[in-house]
Amino acid sequence: MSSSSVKEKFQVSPFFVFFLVNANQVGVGILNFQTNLVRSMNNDGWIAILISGFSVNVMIFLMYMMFKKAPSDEFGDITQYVFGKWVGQLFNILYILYFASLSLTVLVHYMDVIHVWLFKEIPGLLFASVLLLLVYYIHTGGFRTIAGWAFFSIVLTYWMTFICFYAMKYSHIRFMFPMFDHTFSQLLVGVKDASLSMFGFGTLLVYYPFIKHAQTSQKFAHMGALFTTCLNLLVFLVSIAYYSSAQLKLTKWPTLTLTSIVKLPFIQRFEFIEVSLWLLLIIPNIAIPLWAASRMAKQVLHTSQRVTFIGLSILILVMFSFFTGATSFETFNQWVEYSGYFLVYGLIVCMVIGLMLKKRWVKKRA
Amino acid sequence: MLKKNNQHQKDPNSVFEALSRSSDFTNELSRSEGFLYRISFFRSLINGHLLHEQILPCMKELHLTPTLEELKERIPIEQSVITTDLQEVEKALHQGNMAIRLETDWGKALLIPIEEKKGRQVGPPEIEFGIISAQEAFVEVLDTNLNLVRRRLPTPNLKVSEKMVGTLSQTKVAVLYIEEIANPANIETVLQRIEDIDFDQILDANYLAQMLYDVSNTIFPLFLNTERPDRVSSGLSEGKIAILVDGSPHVLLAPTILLEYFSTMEDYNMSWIAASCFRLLRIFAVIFSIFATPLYVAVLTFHYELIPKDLLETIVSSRYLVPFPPIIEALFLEVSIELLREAGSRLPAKVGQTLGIVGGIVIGQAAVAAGLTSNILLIIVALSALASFVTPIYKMGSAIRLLRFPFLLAAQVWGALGIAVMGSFLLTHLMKLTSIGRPYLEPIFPLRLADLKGSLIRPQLRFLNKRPENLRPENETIHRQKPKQGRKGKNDFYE
Amino acid sequence: MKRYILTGLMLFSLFLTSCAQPRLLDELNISQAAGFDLIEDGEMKGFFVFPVFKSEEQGSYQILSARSNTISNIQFLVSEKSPFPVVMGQVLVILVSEKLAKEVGMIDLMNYIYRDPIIGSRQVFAIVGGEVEDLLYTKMNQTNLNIGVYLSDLLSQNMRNGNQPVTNQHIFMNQMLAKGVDAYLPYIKKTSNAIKVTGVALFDQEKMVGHIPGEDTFTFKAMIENHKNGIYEFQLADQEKTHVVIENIKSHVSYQVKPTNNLTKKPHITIDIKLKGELKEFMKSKKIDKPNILDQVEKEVEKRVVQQGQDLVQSFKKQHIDPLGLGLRYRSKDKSMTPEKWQEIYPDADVQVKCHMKIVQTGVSQ
Repeated sequence: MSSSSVKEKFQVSPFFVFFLVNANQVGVGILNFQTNLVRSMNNDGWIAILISGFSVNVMIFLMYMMFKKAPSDEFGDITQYVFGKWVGQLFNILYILYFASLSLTVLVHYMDVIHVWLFKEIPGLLFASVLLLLVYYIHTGGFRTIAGWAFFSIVLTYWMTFICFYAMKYSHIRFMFPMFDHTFSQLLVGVKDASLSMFGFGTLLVYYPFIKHAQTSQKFAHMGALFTTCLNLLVFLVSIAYYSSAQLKLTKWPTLTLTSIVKLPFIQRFEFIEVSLWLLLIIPNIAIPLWAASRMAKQVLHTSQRVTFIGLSILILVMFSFFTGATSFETFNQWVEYSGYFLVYGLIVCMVIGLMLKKRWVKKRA
Repeated sequence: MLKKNNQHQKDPNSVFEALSRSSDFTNELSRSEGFLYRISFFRSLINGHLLHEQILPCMKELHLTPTLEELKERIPIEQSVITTDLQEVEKALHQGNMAIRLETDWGKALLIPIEEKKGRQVGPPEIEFGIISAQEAFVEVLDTNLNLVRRRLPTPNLKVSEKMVGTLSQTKVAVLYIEEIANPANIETVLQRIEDIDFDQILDANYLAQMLYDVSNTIFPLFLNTERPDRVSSGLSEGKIAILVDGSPHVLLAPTILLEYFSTMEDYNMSWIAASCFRLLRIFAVIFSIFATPLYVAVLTFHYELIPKDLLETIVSSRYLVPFPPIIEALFLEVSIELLREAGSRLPAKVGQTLGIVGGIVIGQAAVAAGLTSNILLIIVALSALASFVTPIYKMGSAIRLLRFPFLLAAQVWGALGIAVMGSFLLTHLMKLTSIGRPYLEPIFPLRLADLKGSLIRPQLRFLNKRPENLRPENETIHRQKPKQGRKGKNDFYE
Repeated sequence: MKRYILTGLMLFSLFLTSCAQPRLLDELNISQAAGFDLIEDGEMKGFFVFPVFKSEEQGSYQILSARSNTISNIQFLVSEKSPFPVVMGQVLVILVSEKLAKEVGMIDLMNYIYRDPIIGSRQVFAIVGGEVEDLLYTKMNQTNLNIGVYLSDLLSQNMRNGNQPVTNQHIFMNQMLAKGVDAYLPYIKKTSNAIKVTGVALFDQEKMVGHIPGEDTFTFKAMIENHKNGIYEFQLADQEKTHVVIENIKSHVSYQVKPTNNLTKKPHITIDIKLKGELKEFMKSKKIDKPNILDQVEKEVEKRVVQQGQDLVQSFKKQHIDPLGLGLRYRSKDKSMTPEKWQEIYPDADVQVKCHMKIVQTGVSQ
């Protein structure tokens, strides 16, 4: 295993991988994943969540194995090593587009939430450009600032899980039963729906060289994914106890409507504060994939990261203005999901196999 | 008594001739026992007693052909130097030395340091006042300050590096550190940066601080400036580096972290429970001070549904007469409190008290009665102004006061969401700040749990057995924790 | 320097154009209660109660009304009569007239209220026996609350300390949409000089079908939820016809459901109520020195509660409604049940009510 290609003063300690993986996964998915999951799997959705969480952990394990076997720790180089120069670059470009569209989906989704819940009249494009300006400012601090944001977004917003305990006052356990009455094929559909909220760990591929003693951070990555699974599980269980299934299928953002039952002595409607604080939670979801995309673009195009970042932001803003209606966004979301499956799940498996085969081939030649 | 010459004889040396054009430069030509000598000094810089009692009598007792070396032996003042370098002579004269030249060689001079250290007496601190702590503060004279620090740290490892900064002011700057504790990289950074300074006048330690900053576009102070010797000595023993500037009663400490600006030396004089509560109160006060008025503006302008139903009547009826929207009201009140503060800090003491009463009570009361503001907002603004003064460091207090305004504007633009956006910008800014290379948000952001317990709460003294890691000290142990004496073998209460 | 000025100008213009529209607190007509009456042909008349905040006079209010077919249109028409826009963010209680609830049903009302996030989940619905107009226009003297806050306090006080089951918008929505349970709402009526909570209105899906009179609400509440407080008065069957009043300290209800396999046999459901009460009043000055007086009272209470419970369940079965949620409880035990099958077996279900009462205190005197 070669030494890292990034200077030590830009690296962060391995402990931060926990926050990086977790912050990247928890974003806007947690707001409405229950609706789809209940549609396909009713009360057994928690099984689907557990299975998809397990699959995420398996993928992280495969990723670390890939990095252990690969000659370089830059992902752009590994794809070229396994698949050859041109195919590898093609895959790199696909990854760049995938990460950029991850940021885009989070932006569009959050703008949607703001438009419905807070202010209808804010022009989405302007708000998105302010957010991208903030992300640019974060990037000027290097990767350490980005890791710090992952840390702060978790520390500053996870106290809001007290809402779950508040909601238990109005929920009944008997809404959660019966369980275990779904078939295996329904389970697969459910796993697909549950994975929506677990994507985002793929950026680990790009920030791997920025971790000190990268292989030791594997346990933290697993813990981060596990934590996300637990969080999703908690939110789902509370939702099915709180809402009846018919009501849940009717609600667009169950987690936010759940919050509207909270009444504090000095704040009557907590959900508007929650929506504003949600901004802190999604900033890593925008910043980290965009950073990953611009870094890979830097390697493909051999320009500075600032130029690629500005280019990608302009692309995102242009695409953003196309998603004014809800329906076109749904299709795009589906596309991103499928490409996520292909690029993150499928390609990594291929790469690991490819690396193992290549090692054997190189040995055979020597 | 010097013999006064009636005619002014020209000094053959051009340097001394140039200096003689100032009226406070004495350049006397005298005769003693048959040889001529010249004494030159700045009357305003030297200690007259030393001159008259120690030096001049020695000049009288000379025999026929004295040499400067002999004079040096005789005159009982240490660090006298014989030199022919006129630059050095000029510099030395400006620092309070006197020059004695013999007629044998007008170019060679004996420099004797007899400077007068005129300055304040050591008195109580003006800004960082403490109730149950020592009432000593630094003064403007560098040597007195060094005295105060050295008395508290009589260790041979305390090293002082003196440098001269400023082309016009030639200010003496002393850098202190404890050799076996402070990190050598920090020491080198500080010394290197001081050497790189190219400026004409360094009037105060804070000028120097601004030139040594990592980032200049920030309102947050990156060096802690203090006027208490106990704070400096405690900082030095943790591994910090202290910078003393001649002519300034403030001493800079580097590197610092954000949480240090909310701790006072008094915390360690009280019981740890009380001190921890007060420290948390300070942090809460700062958060309240920054966010209270913007939240008021945001809630009243955009989020009427957040107000509890019992408060609704109070708030709306308090705004009954007010013709302005909440943002104008808030800005008006904030600006008037800032005006009060600015005016109050410049008023002489006798006038200040009366105007304080006028400003505080009459204006506030009259504003509400006239219907220009609501009384709820007045309470909020007054409380947040008060809360911004809880930090013992003045620079941090002014940073907090200024921070409120961007948040106010953000609250007016986007409500609670605007406050979240502005808060994100602030957080990013704080994350990027470094104080001589060390991160500013240290125990929180590069997470160091051992340091957190010392920053957020004040732990018992016997738990303080390691120095803070953010300073990367060479020697980590403060003391070894003795195991608490338990009641071994005693099972009952009353044994 | 030029760069700073340029970016500053850009940011400034960004801020100015993307301002959200201010909704100043004192330039809004904040409605604290709303009511809807049925006129004819599905047209509704809506009333909004606006508090008028004057510093000298507390509790003054204004009621504005309009007629239309949909609720948001009513809101808009009322705005046409008012100097400030009408907003519903602080609405505490929504009154629906009995005729509207019986003929049109609540689903259409809920459509708007659930869709708009500005109306929270804590707001309470109430059914008015009679016309909402009469109720809202009653002149309340000797109170410094406006009618909206008065009604909301009335309802919440009764839910907390009285015999009303707890309900709010979320619970109502939950029960209305769920298939195994039916909803209920407080029933208020205007008496000659006051507004009184006189019972509980029962719903079948979305339409109101009947109501439980005030004497039975204690038992109903005891069967629905665990509650503290609540008063129960009855007459002892002895010579003096003593009136006894019991104040409930704590009540606990548990359901035992015995499932049948594949619904071949009648389901058995046992409702077990445990009451712990305080003897509040014992008229006709009978001294309570003999210990079996208390036992007699206890047994009497148990008998009466059981009788009332059975009567209630019979009436529910006759009306084909299920506010106790027996269908849902049964479904949680037996997976094969569907809503249609439950409709078939519900009238034959064997529901037994058991009660166990214990008097814990008798006050300070004998």
